[in-house]
Amino acid sequence: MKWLEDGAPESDVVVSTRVRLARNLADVPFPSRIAKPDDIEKIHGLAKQSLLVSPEFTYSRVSDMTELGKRALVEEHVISTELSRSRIGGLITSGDQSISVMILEEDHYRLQSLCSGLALYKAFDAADRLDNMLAKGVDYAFDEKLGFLTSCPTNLGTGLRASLMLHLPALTAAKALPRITTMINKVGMTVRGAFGEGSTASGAFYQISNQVTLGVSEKEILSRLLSTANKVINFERGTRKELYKSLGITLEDRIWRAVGILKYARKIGDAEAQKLVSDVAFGVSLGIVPNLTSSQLYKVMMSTRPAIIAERYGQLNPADRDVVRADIIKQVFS
Amino acid sequence: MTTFVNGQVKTVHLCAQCASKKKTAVVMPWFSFNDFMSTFYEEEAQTDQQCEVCGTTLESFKKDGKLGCVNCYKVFEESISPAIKGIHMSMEHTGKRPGERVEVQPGKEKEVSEQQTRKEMLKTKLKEAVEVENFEEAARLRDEIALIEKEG
Repeated sequence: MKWLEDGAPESDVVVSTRVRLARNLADVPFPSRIAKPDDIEKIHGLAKQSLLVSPEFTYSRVSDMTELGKRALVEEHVISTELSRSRIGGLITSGDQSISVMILEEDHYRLQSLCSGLALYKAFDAADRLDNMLAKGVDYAFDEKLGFLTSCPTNLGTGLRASLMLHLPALTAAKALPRITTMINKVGMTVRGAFGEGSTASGAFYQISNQVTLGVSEKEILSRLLSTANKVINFERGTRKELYKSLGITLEDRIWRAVGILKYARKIGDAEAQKLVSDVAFGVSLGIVPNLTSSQLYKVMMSTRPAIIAERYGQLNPADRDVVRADIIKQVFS
Repeated sequence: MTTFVNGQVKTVHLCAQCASKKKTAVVMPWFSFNDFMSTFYEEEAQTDQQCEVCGTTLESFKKDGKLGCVNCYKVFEESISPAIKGIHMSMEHTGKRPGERVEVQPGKEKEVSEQQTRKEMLKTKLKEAVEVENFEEAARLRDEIALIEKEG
């Protein structure tokens, strides 16, 4: 989570930005049908040859990673669960993990760029440069009519999926999400819970992303997502103020209780931490909680997911992890 | 179909038949390609097509939504076109070509998003002005929209 920085744009509502490009080679079957060892090595080899010229990148094979290491990378949004289960996959990442290439996931290459806050152009720019770096050394599967050819036709054309992680505590409390989901679906985008896996509570974090990738240019995809996000951000900010106006001290009480638990708890679970961080970040944005930033809170929440703690602190037991988590979170308040 | 799971909204687009099966089916995170595809294939019986390069069949594609290689796009063109049109609303790639640079403006996200929102608001106003036959106002709004589009 080194790429999550303080003071990122619109970070009272936008946690992070992710841009992903799907790319394939023209003369090798897609990963689901790839069989020849030579083809597999070719995919790995070409990526290494084109990208490892830059010293900021490192390469690894999924089969060389530990189970825990893989799970931590999934929690850090660097790889997908699908890649973590692959026997033939690989990964190229930059030092801070803000840029990565998943090798032999659903497509031959999935280029990814992560940024703090609302930074769609910044994230896309980095992905586009990486794409062209790779394009110099490989012959992409590209069709004049259908654009970049992908394993699944849902990614055809630009192969671009841009998504924003939003923190929407007020809209969640006001039960406005169904309305917003309908509005967002109408313009060809989707909304889903950001921490959907398992049965953990969400703490009001959501992902919105484009669904349409063909027939629109990269710039159009980005500006449409920006426009949609802008509406949701303004709606969330307005609702936060309204809620504070109508709830007053009841809201302050809920937020300060969350501060109290995060500051003094001796052990805390992942789902509870997410929920309380969500409450405190809500309070920070309304000026109720001073001397803290939303980004600090998001960072501590995202870097204390179970596998990340287990990997970094060597604590495998869930109860011990909860103690480590409480210790880390506490430091933010000191 | 919109459902709440653990306080999260999940929307899945299903045909009536699939919706009834849904109770036992695996719920894909945001979009079920299989269900979407099946809406196009319900009455089609030609499932014996096979790609000579990678061995993918139309049947397997309908199951997991994945094609096996570049050649599949030619072999199954006729069968998959309606689905592609349904997902993307257009069959013409208008984005970059391999190696092409897309110039964007990092740091200008906020300005662009506000301008886009303003443009959409003006378009709504334009529609309203035309409806009440206020053509003077409509012309002014049209010029303002054109200006934003030129700058964007």
